[in-house]
Amino acid sequence: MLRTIWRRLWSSEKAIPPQLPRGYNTEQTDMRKPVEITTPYPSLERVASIYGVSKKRQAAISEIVDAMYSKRRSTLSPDRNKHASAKTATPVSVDPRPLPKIKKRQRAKAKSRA
Amino acid sequence: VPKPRVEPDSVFLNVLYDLAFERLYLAYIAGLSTLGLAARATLEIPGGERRLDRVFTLLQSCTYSIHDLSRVQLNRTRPATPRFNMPMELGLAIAWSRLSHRKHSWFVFETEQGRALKSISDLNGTDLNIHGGTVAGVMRELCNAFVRRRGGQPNVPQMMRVYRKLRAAVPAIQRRTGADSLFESRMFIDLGLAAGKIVTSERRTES
Repeated sequence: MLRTIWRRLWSSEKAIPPQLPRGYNTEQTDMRKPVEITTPYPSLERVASIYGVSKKRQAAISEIVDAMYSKRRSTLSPDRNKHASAKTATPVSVDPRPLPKIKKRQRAKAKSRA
Repeated sequence: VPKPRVEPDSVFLNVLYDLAFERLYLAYIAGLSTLGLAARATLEIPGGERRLDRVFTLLQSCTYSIHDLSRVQLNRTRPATPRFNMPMELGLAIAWSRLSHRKHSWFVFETEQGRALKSISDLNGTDLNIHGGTVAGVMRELCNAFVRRRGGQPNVPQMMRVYRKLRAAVPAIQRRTGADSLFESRMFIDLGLAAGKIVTSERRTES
């Protein structure tokens, strides 16, 4: 009896693992590792071909983005000029006259108000 | 049935097309473009075929897939039901990655740690990408998911710059397409193109 049980156990241990379907990707694991991108950075034409877009449409979108960049440049330039001119600009003229002295009475009034 | 051509730089983007998700949707498009990848979504495929067939065909044509499960919630309209499209498409991707001869890598993105594992316990043992529902979080997790040695690995500030530019270009693109929302076929493709153009311009100015 014991012998038969032992034999069955022994045979189950040696059982052939179930056959995986053809092409089963055994390297795949569920633990996420970063995937390395091996393809080069795609050109605009490549991106357009992925989406199946015409050259005309691609050009229209490029125009929008270019307009945005040029607009940004134009809005930035006056600030940049201002910044640049600030370094070279003559300092704002200061009134050379001394500030009027506050009389003792006025000072006392201000103190009492406070 | 002819098998679709596999694009080595395409990413199947499985996200919710919802107004509340607009920022993250743009973040995915911008982030993937900065990494030199093209986002693909079921939005871009013309109708006619059965939706499930369209989804599977697109999934097969992509080398990678991103499944954002952060919006698997009950919707308020009666009868209150959860959105199961995204987990179902994740299941399709896992099956495809296991059974296909071609390599397909899938990633699960979530807002909260532990929520996806609570709702889909079969994912136990899988590392999820938790973005915390922020644009910067999405960029960070995209950087964790994809590594680029050729041409240099972009960093989060670079990705954020592309995102801001893409966001700035949205009104002009929307005006051109006449789209009501960003979740329209034409709009999605134009956003992908614009992101590609922005990345090219940025790379040119950096170099």
